[in-house]
Amino acid sequence: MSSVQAFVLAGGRGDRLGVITKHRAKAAVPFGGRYRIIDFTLSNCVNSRVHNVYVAAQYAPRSLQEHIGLGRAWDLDRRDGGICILLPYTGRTDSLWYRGTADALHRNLDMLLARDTEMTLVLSGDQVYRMNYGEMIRQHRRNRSRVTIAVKPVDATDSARFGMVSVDGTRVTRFEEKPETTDLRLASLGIYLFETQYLVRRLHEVVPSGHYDLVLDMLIPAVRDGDVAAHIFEGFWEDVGELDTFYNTSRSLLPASSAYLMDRRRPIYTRSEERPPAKFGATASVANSVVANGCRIFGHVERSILFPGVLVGEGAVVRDSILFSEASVYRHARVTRCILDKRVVIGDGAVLGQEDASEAVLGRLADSEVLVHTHEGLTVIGKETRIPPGFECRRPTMLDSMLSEDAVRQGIGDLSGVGA
Amino acid sequence: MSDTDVFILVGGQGSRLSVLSEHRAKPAVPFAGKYRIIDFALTNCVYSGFFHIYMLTQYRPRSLVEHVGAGKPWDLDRKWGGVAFLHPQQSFDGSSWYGGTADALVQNLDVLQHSQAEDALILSGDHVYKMNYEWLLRAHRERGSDLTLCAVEVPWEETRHFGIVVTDDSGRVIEFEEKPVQAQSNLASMGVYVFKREPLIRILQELQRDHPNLDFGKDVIPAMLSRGNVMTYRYGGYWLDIGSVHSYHNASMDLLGNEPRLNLFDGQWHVLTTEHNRPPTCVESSARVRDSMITDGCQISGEVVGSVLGPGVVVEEGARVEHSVLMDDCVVRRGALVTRCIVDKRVKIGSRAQIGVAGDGRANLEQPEVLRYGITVVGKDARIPAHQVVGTNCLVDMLAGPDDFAQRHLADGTALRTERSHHPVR
Repeated sequence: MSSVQAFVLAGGRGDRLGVITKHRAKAAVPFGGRYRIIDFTLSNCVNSRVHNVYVAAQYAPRSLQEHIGLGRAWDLDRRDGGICILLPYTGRTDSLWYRGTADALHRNLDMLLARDTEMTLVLSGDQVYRMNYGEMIRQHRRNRSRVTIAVKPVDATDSARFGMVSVDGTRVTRFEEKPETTDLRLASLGIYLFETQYLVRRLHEVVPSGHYDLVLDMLIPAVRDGDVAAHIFEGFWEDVGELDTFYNTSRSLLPASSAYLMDRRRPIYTRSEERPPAKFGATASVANSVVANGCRIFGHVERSILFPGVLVGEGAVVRDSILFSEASVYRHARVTRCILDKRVVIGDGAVLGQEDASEAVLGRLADSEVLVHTHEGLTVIGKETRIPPGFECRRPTMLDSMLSEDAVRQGIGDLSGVGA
Repeated sequence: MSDTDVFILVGGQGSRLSVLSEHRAKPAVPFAGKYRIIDFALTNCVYSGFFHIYMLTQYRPRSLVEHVGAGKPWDLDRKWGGVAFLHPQQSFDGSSWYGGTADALVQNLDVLQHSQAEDALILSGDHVYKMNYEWLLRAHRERGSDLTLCAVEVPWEETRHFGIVVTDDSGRVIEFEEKPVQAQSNLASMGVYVFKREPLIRILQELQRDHPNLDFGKDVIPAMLSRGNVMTYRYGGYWLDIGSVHSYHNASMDLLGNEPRLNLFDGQWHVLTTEHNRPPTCVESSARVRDSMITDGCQISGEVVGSVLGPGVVVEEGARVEHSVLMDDCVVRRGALVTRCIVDKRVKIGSRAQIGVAGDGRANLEQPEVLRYGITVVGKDARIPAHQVVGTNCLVDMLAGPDDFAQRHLADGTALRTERSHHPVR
């Protein structure tokens, strides 16, 4: 379907994920024991035979660039089409960051027009779902729509997280952005299909007059003009923008529903890492967990997700936790309800995290306005931080990245102090 | 090392690997979960900086060619050098299959002649080891040898399976005996040779007239002793020729234990292979996994002990897999037992079946020399019915289905063949 191109918005900071997004774009956050969040959207594209893909990045794009590379993992290293990462750049007359989602599109208009495609899918790089865009594209064609958006029924209590819509047949008649209360039950999923010419025309109208948001400044007016149709999607879909939803969505993939990742007809592709198969030692005991290649397990692991290359030493206990690549839990250490970022080291006999879920404020990063909350009693340790042997902290905590053992011992980098 | 050509011999039948190599070349046999045996030699080449590689194929090369492809996982898809397959071919001056390991090179002598390389490195595609060939080449050049052969100490009782090298104090080879009954040394040739290119061409041209089945171990190496300077290069690490079902099983077990003899968790020397896209492994709450190696994509609800599982293996609740190797996408149904088995790809083992349980321990009737060490081998895509019992030293043909199992209990040493496998029973 070369008549469709995809424009993936992957510039978001994801402040509510705290220290996890300190060094990476939200779309590059690790997920599901092996993937990055953007893998779902990119895999949906290629599984739907959309091979013209642009990714607009801005915040901490390195991890994203490294992960995507030339797009080989998705077969997007192509002669015709393929993947292209669009970063802000300086021009003769303007040298600005992307000021909003519509601005990101507008600044790349030449790319949007370069391939003369009939339709443009505007997608988010930070959602977990598996969808065949082909069905939406067919509906769009059949109805000769200008805009089609994917919607899904949600609980009334969730309305404040979504753009809520009402429909008449397939036509969207109302759109309320993140209402606290509403009688609308269909949520917009941030999956938009535009007639390319229509998109370009609207961008020309809106952006030069100082309006930069795709939803507020383009979509809602388009609804008013009666130009927007809805496509109902009933499958699993989750925006993992908050710590708790990230944690719970990750763990919903634990064995009971592992079929989601195992489905081989519509695989989720990702960049492969060269690692040997996982090694289970003679003293290992593992239950209800996801274990990736390259792990070495000599201790006890339950209800947890282990990314490639994780080490769990003898006598160590890991419960209800998510351990990113190459995190190490040394002998007799205990880790409960923790998210350990890449290469975090938990020293011998250290105890981290609390047993039960509870509400807590985890603090915020120094350069951020957003105070990170948890209702799950989570502890989050930033990338490459080293927890000293014997260290104990049994309350929900967020520690900064790159901390030395001494710093941790002295309480430096405990973010709950920052602006709390 | 762009001044060295590498020739990897991957044409052998490997008949002592039983059904594992009946439909694929030995170097293409899956090993250690996600790898093929050939990955070790290819990884050694690229980590040592050798990028001009020729693969001499003959026996059932399809799976090998598919696996290696253009060489992408090893960064061998490159403008200069890379990996090329030298298949037997027809030409104006007749056509023939390769008669022996060195004959394969004789028939591609033009490649050697047109090369600009100074030396030729000759390897086997069916050895498991991690070796830096750069050091070997440096020693070869420093000593100005015409031929340097790599040698490793083996147990005295196994010397009769190897080419045995006798050296003087300087490491010069003074005698070479191919598979001697009474060995004078326990230093075995690993089948890893570096020749100066010119002397190699000369000796191949000289010997080919009288030897249609020219072999490196039998013919070329002994002849070199009287014609040039032949030195040894001692190798001290892990090295295993995966020549038989028994050595395959041993090498697999060498991956296990807290201090494994064969360590794949070597940050400096990650073995490279063609990656398949699989989700991580799921270990259910009913599972027990100990002392095992598990590749991505498995779903484990049962018990796995002392075993190596390839990608996508399913072990259902109440099933037990012990001291076995299960290749890609095998399924072990509820309550089944698999013990001391090597199970090829996509085999389905029915519920409450018991495979590999020893009775009188009789050697296999069809392959008594190969299957006599208490290991049962199941060929790929076989389907073993529920409640079936299969003894030890058994062979189950590839594609065997439920109707091929006439008896509920296959005694030790049984060879179950089926017409579905479309190849002659040896």
